[in-house]
Amino acid sequence: MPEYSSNEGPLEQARTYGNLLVFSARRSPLALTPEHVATIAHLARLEVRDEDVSGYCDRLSRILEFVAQLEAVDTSAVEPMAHAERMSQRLREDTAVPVSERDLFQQNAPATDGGLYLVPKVIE
Amino acid sequence: MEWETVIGLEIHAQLSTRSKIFSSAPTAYGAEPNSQANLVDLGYPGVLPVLNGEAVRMAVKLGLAIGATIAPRSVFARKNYFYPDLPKGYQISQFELPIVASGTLDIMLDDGSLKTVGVTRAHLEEDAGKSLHEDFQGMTGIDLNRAGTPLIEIVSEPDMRSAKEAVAYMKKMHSLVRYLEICDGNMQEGSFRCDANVSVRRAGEEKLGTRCEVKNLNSFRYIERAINYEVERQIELIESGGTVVQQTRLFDPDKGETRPLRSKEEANDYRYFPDPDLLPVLLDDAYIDGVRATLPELPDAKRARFVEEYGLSAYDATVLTATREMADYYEAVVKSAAGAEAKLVANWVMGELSGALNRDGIEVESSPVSAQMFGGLLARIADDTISGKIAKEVFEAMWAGEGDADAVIEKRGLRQITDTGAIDEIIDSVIAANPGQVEQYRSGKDKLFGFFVGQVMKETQGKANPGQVNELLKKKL
Repeated sequence: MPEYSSNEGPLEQARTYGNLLVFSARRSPLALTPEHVATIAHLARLEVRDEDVSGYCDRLSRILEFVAQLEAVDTSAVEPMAHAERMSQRLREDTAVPVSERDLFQQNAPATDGGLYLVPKVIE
Repeated sequence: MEWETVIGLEIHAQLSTRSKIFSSAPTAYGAEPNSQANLVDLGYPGVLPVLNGEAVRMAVKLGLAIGATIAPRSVFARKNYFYPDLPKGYQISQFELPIVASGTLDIMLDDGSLKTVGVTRAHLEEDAGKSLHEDFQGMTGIDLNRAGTPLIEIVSEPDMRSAKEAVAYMKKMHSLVRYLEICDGNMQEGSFRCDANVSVRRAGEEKLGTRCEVKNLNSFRYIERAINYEVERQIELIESGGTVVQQTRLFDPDKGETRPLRSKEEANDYRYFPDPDLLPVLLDDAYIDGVRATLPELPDAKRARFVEEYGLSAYDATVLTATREMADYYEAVVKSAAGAEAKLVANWVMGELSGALNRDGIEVESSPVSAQMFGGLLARIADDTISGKIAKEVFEAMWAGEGDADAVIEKRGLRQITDTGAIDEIIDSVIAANPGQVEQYRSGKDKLFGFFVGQVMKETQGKANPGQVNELLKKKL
């Protein structure tokens, strides 16, 4: 992914893209550790049972190895692609349309108060 | 031990579009909670973002104003994190390919010299909603009206060396976005805010120290206090044998200190990737030139012109061009103050007017004394109808709504006495009434001259022309 290579080193890049180190062909084999799995699960807010971790390590690593075959292709002369469509973004006119459906939208919320959505207390 | 402070700022400016960056919901501040959040802002399944052309145009305006490169191709990316005021679970931002890159902004330092601060990049993104932590049945309230409001994040190089420089940079950028009419600059409402990256290093050291990021500073005063506190904290920490840990901190204005954000232990891991819902933004030269043609006269150019055209000092010109409104007001006064020197106008605008505006907490554009009225007053000083001292009284009367200068002067009988005969008479009576002082003066006590001037001014209630009084007194004594 040359588009991502800016001036960061491979380590920093890997950190940016999920601590995975998987897109670097320099590193092999592409085995994920239990710590990687725990990190990925946490980032996705998924609960993974301890006994399932080693299975995820194997299966996710196999997916990465499969994808890593792409590394064999020389893309140095190819302009990085940001989208599958060869089109550019259409720009919308800056016209505001009033929103009148708040009550309807809030019927989907578990809890509201005076127009606010209520969520479990966030302490920062 | 000599320490050097290194500061970089990330400024977030809300763009003054009517609708949001990726949806048609309105952006007006202060509406009922969630009354301006539509399906796109709420992140409902199946909705798609459509980019607001005005937000793009405003970003390009900023880029051109700071002499930056406008990217012919820029890409929106998803920044992934979970927080209740971010309904989609990601913020649409720009990462590798921002719309604006490598510009500069000149700031004026205390000694009057200019310093150039580098702007690394500026990118478009959407704002998040607001979390209200007051007690709502033991829960947190979420208002998504702000979600999707267009932001431009302006990232500086770590070029600033003191809290004062950081404030000067922030003020200059604040002035610029308002000149460009791309942001209302309202810091209390959060339209213009910044995060400060602060580190210290020993003088002469090349390598940057470990930095801390102080988040969400929304007043110039807070920026200065927060940075100064943070600098002192880091120096004390290192001098007592500790090390600075890279972290995000919040400034508590009540205690005047920064404290660490209760942080997830792990480093932020946003897993940016190009947003498949948005195509690359392509801007050609014709588009960019079209935007360039709409740029107003910018603060630096205006300041230089004020020095050149009105003969003002660099300081006066800087003060008068700090905001476009003040500069426009000044120029309108100069135009309508027939015969008055531009320098005199500058003194009055920066003195009486600014004083009254500050005192009453009013912005210049809603001044009760219009530029035309003010010009009319200064014209009366220029043509000797009133003295500067009386003019202050007239100004206050105008401020209080008593009409224009001529009306106040007539109504209160403040016209200056320039009739030599009338002043002659008064001087004669003053001399007759104070024979003792006259004798002392004539025998060499020069200081008493002021006494006579004062007596004459008292008799005329300040309406005599001081120059004329001096001249006539000298003759008669």
